[in-house]
Amino acid sequence: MRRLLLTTALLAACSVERGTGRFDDQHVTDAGADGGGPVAGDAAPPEDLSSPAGTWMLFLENSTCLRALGQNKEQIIWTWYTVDIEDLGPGGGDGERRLKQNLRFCTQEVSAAIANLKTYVPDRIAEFLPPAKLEAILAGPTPGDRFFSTELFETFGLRTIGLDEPLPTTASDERVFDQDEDGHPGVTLVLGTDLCEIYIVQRTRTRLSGEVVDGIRVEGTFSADLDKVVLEATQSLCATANEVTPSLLANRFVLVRIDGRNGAYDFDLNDDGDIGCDEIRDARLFFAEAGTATPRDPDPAACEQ
Amino acid sequence: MQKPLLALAVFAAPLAARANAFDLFGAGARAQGMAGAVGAAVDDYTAVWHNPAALTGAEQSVGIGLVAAFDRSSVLLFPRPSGYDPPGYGGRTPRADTDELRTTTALLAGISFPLFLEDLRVGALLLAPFGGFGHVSSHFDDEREQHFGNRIEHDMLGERLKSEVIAGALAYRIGSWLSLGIGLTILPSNRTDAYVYTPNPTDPSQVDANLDVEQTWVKALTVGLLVEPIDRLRLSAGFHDEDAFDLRVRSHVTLGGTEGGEADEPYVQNIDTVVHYSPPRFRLGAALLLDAVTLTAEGTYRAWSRMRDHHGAEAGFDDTVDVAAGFEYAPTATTFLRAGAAWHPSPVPPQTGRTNYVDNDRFVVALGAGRRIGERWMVDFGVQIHALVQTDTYKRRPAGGFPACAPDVGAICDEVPDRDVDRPGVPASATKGLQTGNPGFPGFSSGGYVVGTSLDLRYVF
Repeated sequence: MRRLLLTTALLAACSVERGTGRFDDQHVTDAGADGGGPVAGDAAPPEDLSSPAGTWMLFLENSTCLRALGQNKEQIIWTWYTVDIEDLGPGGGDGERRLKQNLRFCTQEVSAAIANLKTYVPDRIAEFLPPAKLEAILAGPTPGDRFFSTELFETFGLRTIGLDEPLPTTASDERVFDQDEDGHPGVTLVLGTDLCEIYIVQRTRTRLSGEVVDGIRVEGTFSADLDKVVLEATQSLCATANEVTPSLLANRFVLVRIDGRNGAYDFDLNDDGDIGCDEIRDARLFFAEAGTATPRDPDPAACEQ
Repeated sequence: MQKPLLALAVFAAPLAARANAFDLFGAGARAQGMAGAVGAAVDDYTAVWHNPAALTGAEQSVGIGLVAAFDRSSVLLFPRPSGYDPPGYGGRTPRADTDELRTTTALLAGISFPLFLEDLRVGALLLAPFGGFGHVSSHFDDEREQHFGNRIEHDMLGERLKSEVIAGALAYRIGSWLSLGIGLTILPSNRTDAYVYTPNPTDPSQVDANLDVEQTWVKALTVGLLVEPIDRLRLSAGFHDEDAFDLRVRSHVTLGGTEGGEADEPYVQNIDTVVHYSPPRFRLGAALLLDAVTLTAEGTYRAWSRMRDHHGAEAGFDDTVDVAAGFEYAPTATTFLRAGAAWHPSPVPPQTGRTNYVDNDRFVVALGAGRRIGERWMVDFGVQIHALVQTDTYKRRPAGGFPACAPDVGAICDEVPDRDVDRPGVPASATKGLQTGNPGFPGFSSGGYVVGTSLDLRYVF
């Protein structure tokens, strides 16, 4: 009996007590969100878009098909811009207005396609892309009135390239340069969480065509020509030949006012008088949640040709 | 004598075998009852394990036994503070404690007998787990484990107890006071080349594969010395070379749909798994053989600094010296009562950084008994209790911030370095600061106990 008691006491002494760690909870505030959430406008948005001048967010949803590794799947590219619109005055038609748009690329996301891998477009690329200036025509201020823009011509990692000129295929091509200044040719994207880095050059041509929804929103479709070449990759598999073509589905855009005027939300979160890309990232999440500019899921039928 | 010894040593050059229950408890019920301190007093075929030289004094016998181990070592994970989860953390396998009772049973069999000469003896010993031979189970000891079991395993216990032993030894009595012995432990191993074709890379469940499997034998050398300088006193010395089961798998993978591309096919995946490493160990022992009492003591130096983990990385362990003492009392000519105690310091340094190697200092108490039945039968029973001294491991914040995870990083590391905070779709607050899925973060408590028992039946012929 004594032996049994001794054994029991010994084993009881071996029970393990769980400790607690010495790391405090970690709270990191989003950049740009220090000032809190957006401020709603003073009044409800007007139905008419009579004074378009101001700062807007442009959301593009470009539906493409990615053919690689024997598969052909829809790959959606979402891009968010800040757009400063200047009203140049009346156009030729009745109620028509000419607009000047100053676009700044802020962030881009690409849906997972082949092998469920996502392509990540680092936000730092935005620092190295020059703003684009477009002109647009607003046919009228009332809902349903048409909106057209001139072509947005954007390149990644290319000094000069013609509208239809074939893209360079090697890093040594003199038209290629290290645009994001990371020591690699072209622009660096990340494939998968950390699968590999790919160094690409890219050209996109985008032309918007939409209509007024209300006093702070324009929506519509756009034509897009996208050409992309993977120059190099950290893993050879990531440099495997692939082809991007338009899908069967339409591309979609939303232009939404974000400067607090005319009842719009004000995304100048740090009150510096300018709405930058940090604030656009918050606006993006806000309007996605609100249903105003919500990315859709890829459609398996989009590339069944 | 030197030439045969040298030849045998050369034959045994590729040294590898696995650690096992014998390493933990000792071989045989008598050794278990005396805390394993029997190198200078072993008197049967279990000398093959404890000291091959002692075979010269072993009875000519054959026996079987049952070995059981009840492992209740525990690793309890500290609660994770908030804000440290990498994006998508915990999506597959929840982080979990290791706290269940693991039971292992095995059959022991042994034999020893003279070989042509009375002074030349051989012995053989087998430990065969009832769960089967060749059990291999590996795990990662850092943040990579989150993609697998997502828990922390005790490196010195657990799966280690499921390893088998096949051992043989030869001993020769050189003079009335000196014996030498040499032996081998041998185990099956294999090398596998897998030639894999994945017709649809987007559906990895579909593969066509051919295998090229080579079964090999791995060996570890044991050497023993037994000296009897004066009547009733025995001294022993032994060496057991390092043991490890090295499983090598090389996969040659070709993906469908990439023909004509720039991919460097086939992709070669090398999987080198080192399981249940035990270091070279040197034993010194002594036994005082009185009329009805035997007193033993043994010290073992283990070169744990050579330790490699399951994936071949140096673990950074410390060398250790453990000590054991045993006692045997024979109240009658046919009855034996035994006891022992041992102290096994842990070779694992504080795991304040990236790795989560787990071990505890162990205090061992042992009890046993034996009974001779008639002139030819002997039955022995032994039990050991290993009390694991609780250790609390706290991860430490390295000076200068958290480095990105990489093969050569020893500090707790950041899986999503801040330079990548701008990943679209993930709020910046979810990727700033330390982001780690290491199951050992922010720390863990380990301890518990292990009980080993043996019941042997031996026939003297």
